[in-house]
Amino acid sequence: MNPAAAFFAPPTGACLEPLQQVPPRPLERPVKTTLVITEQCNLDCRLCYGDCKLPKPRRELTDEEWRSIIDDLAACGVIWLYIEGGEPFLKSGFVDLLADNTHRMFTMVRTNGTLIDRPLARRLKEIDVGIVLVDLWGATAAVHDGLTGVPGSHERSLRGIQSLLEAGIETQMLFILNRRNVAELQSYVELAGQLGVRTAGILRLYPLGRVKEQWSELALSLSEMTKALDDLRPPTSVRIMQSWHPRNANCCWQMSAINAFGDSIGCAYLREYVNFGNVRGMPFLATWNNAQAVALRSGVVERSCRECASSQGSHGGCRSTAYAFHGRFDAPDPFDVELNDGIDLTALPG
Amino acid sequence: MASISRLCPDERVRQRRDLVMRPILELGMCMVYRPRPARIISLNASGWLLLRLCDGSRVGDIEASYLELLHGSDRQTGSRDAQMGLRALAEHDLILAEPDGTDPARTSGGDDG
Repeated sequence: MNPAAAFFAPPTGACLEPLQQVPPRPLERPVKTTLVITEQCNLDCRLCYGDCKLPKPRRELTDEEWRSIIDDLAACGVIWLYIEGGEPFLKSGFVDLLADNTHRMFTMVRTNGTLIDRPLARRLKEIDVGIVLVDLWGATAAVHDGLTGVPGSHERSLRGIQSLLEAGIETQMLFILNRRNVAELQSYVELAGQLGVRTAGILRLYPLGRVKEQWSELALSLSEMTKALDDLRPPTSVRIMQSWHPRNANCCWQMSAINAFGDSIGCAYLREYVNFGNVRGMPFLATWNNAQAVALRSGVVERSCRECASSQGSHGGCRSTAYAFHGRFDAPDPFDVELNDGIDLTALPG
Repeated sequence: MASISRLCPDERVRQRRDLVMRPILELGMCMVYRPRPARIISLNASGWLLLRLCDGSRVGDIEASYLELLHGSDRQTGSRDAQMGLRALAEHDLILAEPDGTDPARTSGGDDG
């Protein structure tokens, strides 16, 4: 081990992973926040958790409102923003919003990549965006475009990835694992290696938004997911980021999130289950201290997987999937092989 | 401000002025946002202390302060640790050397964040 590692908190060295190790007492203030900056989108994804194409009878936060909220977050101590959508680059004023905040916060942007060309990628580099994550759900256009609902989106996303890499931006890829693309998982990580992408994320499918009504068609069983991951042989140049056993973390203890309408929701994957208050009408910290938010951050769960707890410093796995299958926030996460208890993940509870 | 190429006792170093520090007392650590190029770096208590000591002081004085605060009578270990820590902070672009002749009274100061 590098002796200099003695000065860095785990994980060693530059820390781009979520904080590990649930603290002995809960965080008093947030450190990082997810912003669901908009539900506007230029794709029509089968996997849309926000059901973005469904008109909502609510007004999205304006650029000015977002700026005020980010000022509030900075005052709370947030130094890390994870921004997603919809498609963030459709939000009017988004790049300027980033530019005005990268001096004080590390920024990560999750995008479909279709709107990123060379000039935009250079601009993002110039304004010091930290990481851009591009959703790519298949190695082939047939699979990816079948999931996004837009022909040609795969090619445009690839061009976006290439533009980002050429501009020198740290670029990661994200793959939402499901029955329609599992056969291309190996090809996907090989593609990441060929492109020069060094981190490839593999995400579980969540029963949210549009996915709920298609769950039986899209969801893999736990054994199918486990086999796909166990059989994976990524190129040595590619780091795989995945949150299944034995790396199934309960991240709630450090998470905060605000949706496009100003609701404080803890995490984007909790969007349909909680609402800690709307930041249009109250300071963010008031929502952070909401009783249910505090309870979720406590990390208290019925059962824990020893291996995952050891690797992640947290217990019980994902609270969203725990709630989806058990109806309780302190239930064990059935996506963990040690905590599954025979639950069939291809069928949602009635 | 010059990059640190070597850590001689008379060299003065200070933390970059554009760092954003986020102490997380609940975890006994400090998360640091370093812009240009953007990076999040997590420091444990020792690393955080060393960074705080880099206020334009001489490396020799920083080491002495670090020894006094953390290592008691174990000078050899403490001195080696301080050197290692300072190099690590420099490698992560968190501290810079001050040009020779800089008035420490003008350059000393607290965190930016």
